[in-house]
Amino acid sequence: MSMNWERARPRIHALGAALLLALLYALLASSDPRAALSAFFLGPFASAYTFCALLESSAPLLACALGACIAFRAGAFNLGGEGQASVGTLAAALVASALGGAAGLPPALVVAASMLAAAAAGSCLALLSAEAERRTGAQVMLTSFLLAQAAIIAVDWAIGGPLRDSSSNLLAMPPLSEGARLSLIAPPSPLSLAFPASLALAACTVFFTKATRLGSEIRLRGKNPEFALTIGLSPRLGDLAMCLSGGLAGVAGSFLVLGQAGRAVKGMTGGVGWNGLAVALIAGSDGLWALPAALFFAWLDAGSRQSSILADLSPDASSVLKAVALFLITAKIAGSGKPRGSLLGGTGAAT
Amino acid sequence: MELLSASGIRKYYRDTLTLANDGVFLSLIEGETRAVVGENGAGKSTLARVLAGLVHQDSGEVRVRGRRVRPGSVREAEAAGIGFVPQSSLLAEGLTVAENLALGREPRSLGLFVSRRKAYVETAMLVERFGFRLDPDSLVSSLTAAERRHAEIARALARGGEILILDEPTSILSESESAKLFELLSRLSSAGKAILLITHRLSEVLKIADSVTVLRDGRVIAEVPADGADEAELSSLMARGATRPRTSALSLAAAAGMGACAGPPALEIRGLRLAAGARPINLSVSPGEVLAVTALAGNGLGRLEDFASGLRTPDEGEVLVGGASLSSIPRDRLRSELMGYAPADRERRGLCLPATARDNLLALRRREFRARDWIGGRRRDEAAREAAAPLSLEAKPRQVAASLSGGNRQRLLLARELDRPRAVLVLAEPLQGLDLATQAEAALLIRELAAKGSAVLLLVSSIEEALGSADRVMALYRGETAFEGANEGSPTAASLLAAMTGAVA
Amino acid sequence: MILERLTSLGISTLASAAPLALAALGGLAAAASGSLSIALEGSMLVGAFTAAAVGHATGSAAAGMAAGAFAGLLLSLLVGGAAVGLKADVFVAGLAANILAPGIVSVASQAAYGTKGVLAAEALRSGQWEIIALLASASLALALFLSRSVFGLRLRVAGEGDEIAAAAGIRSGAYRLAAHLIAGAASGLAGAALAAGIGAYVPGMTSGRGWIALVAVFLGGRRPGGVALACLLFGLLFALSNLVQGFGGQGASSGAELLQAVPYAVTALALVAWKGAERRRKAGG
Repeated sequence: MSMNWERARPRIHALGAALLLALLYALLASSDPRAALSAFFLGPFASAYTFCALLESSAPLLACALGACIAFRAGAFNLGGEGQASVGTLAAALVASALGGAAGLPPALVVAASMLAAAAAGSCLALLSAEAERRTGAQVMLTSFLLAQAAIIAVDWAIGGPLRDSSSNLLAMPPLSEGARLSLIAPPSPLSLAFPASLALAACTVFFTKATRLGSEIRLRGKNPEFALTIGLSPRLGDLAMCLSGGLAGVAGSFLVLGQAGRAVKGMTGGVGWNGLAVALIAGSDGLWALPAALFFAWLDAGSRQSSILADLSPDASSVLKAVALFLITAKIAGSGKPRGSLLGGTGAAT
Repeated sequence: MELLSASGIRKYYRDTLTLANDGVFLSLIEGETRAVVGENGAGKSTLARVLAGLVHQDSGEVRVRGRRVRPGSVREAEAAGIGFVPQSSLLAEGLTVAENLALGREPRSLGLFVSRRKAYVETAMLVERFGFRLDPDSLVSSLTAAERRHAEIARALARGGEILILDEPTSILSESESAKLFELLSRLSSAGKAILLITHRLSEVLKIADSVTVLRDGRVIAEVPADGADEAELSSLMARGATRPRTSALSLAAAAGMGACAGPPALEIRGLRLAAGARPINLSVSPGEVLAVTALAGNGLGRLEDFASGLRTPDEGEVLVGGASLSSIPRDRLRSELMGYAPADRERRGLCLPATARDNLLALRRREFRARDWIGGRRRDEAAREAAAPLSLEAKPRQVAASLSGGNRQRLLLARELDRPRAVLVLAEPLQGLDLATQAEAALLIRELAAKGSAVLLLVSSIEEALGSADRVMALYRGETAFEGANEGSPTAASLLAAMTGAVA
Repeated sequence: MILERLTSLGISTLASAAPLALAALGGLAAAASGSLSIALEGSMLVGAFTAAAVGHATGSAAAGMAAGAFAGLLLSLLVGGAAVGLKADVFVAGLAANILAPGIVSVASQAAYGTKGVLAAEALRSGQWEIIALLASASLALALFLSRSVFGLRLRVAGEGDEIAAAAGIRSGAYRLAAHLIAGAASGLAGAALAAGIGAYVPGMTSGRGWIALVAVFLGGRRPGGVALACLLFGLLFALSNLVQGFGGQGASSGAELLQAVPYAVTALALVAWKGAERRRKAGG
């Protein structure tokens, strides 16, 4: 119903245009366009290893994007995903290293507790903004960003300072024990349980937003907050949405720590929050669409990385391509004569 | 000499499916004051907006001094000397009066900057010449309603307006303020300006106008000189048909009711202050009773709606539903079980326009559905169809509410709120946008719910609606109770209007 | 000794506040026209990079600064064009611009200099007072232009709504686009000044200053004077956190780095406190 062709077309156009631009860039900027092109487009699929790496890197992105989808559906502009993921990394690393050392605890429990701690940390940070808006009207859009910025600095300080593993050259906390990490699925590739876990989160998010009363209430609030109050919906729905949104971003942070890296590294979120936001916008705040969009973004990232290693292109080309896709999709939707705001709340015709 | 002429003006509004003007003609000579009268929805405002260039007519033309004015262009209309004073202010709130008057032809200093001194002087001269009650330096946001009217008129004149079109200029003014406004208008008229006065208040018209055009259903029904015109005759011309079907439909509904039941009030308001410095109001509605509260815009009706519906919690006084304080009842329970509420602001508050008709209809019945209903939606479709039936709402369950016409939106709102006899019904302007037949249906439905034990609080700005359907009537003026009594022939439309405009307190 | 410290704190406050103020006044132009300038941050970043690149290439600080302002304007043309011309959501377009800015800077840097790291431009380096004077006079001119000029007056009318603007014969879309361009140029110049201060472009050097400028627009009550005052306050915060960091900056784990978080947290608190006070005032009145 919501995954119909009408809604898919502008998104596919935008993503296609981004790919076209990538093609142009590789042709124009590289001294060896053939190598650059094949590295960019095919590199991520060249081996099982690189493909698994692509899947693994999509997991935190998808989690952040799902969080952004829920917040946007509720009409809350959560711009703090980056910081919520960042506190998630710290919380996960702290809990995992504390419990991982304790004898006798089953690994599954340690990992679950670490992920919960990360979710709680992200939730708390997001909740501050939601409560501030409910009580005073201070815009979530601004406070979530500012608090996230402060949190990122604090987390970076903690990881690079008091919590740093002094035996290592890295600005990072000590590596986690094997039992406190998400198991690898296909060693030696970095693919871990984080990827299937992110798929499960996507399924839960889609179920929550489309098949529950609360999900439908959140959608009504996002479309018209005044109407939501008039029909008696709780003013705390915004809190709930921000809480879930921040929690998902926190889980994304735990994926980074407990998955591939196996430790908390300074600055390891590396834009996952902002990219998650972009994925959610391209997906029209629809959890179903967030999965392909996140995979697409992960592909762009992996492609740029590959082409910067194997050819002479910039690894940051992917963020230009993502921005172009975003620009195009706002323009596309506006151009098709549909009601405004469909990027943020999903079109009115859905569900 | 003929200054303004309009002929064959036709305008059809696609989104509300109404033919607002159907071949309207009009002419205005120098120094003439002409009134255009008609009921709500007769097409007066549309005509005014066409003349002012704010609305592009489908056909027909406007000429000033014989020259055709390009349709749909404010600039052209202004250049031709047409000044428009809209019903709701179009002044820029954050600017001063002088700045507003100067907009578009600002006096400059150094080529780049606004010369405040020159702007002040220009406005002051205008104020002086016609006797406006205005300080050029005051911010528009600080003006009273009457001062805004003056500022709007001054702006029209400042832009070289020779022909002034005023759309319901007195609708939110008190009697004495209206009288002052008319003095101003007659000064302008004697200074040679032609004035077109759009109104539905006949008594005003006969005092000030030279001639009267009567509109009905988008057509000119009569053109008469004001001298010797009879108020009763005019009002019968304005009304659709000899007897007023709307009133009769409502009275029919009233007759079908059971009248007020005795018993403890279901809704009670005690010591509620609606405006700073106003005397607090008290009211109570018993089960089975319909209380209509009426007031002109800006006199506290909106605030009363906010408090009675529980959207605002009063600092002073209390609102009780079934004896319990409104703020102590969880809002979800209040709305799904105890209180039906149709807001006057239908588009923003009453409906979720980007959502489907189904989501809007079932917004209070969310708890009835399970996961598979939310996914599949067939059961919700059926429930929506059932809910739509009593008011013959023509909408598909999955149609977006924004695509519905005004009348269907109101049906949608009422279908949701009147689906069961809740203890209290707070209905603000419940009949707005409905055609006559549906008005009757809705009024009947409200009466039936009252008969089943609902206490109904009607908040309406139309005196006719208040008198037509209530057991008791109350009028507000400046946030205070100006009249309260049983609706048994004693409060006539005239006496109620007098109370609402502060003529008797 | 104490006097010296105070003077240096004062100078450091001005140096931090000046770029904020210019960017914030640009944001004010957009806000006054009824639009939202999320892309201040992005414009500052491309402004900083372009200034360094052009300053490096031409050896002229003035050319660098002008190019920085122009680059900021180009970025905002994307946002304003999408929002006004294509009726795109201004929030999404602004976010896209903020994602685009670091990406395009990095790609350009890689293509031109083979690095995506620090780009030194000694030629761009300017004296602290020169920069402060340039930014302060640009801010003053912009404030004057917004509050006193015919353009500024019409801009504010455009911000009151399309219907009101139309009734006054003002095409609100054109004014809104112009406001976006002003915001872009102002924040581009502000970013250029950041680069000029240290004579180099450093990735991520704006570090959220564009967002703080946006907060200053709200905190300043949408009036130029108030906005400037809010920026001075934030400038003081940055200066204080730098100063305290200077005292204890010996050990890496001393917590000095943590102080950098203070301006952001305090800005958020200030916004909440101000909005809370505003709500109480409205409820009372």
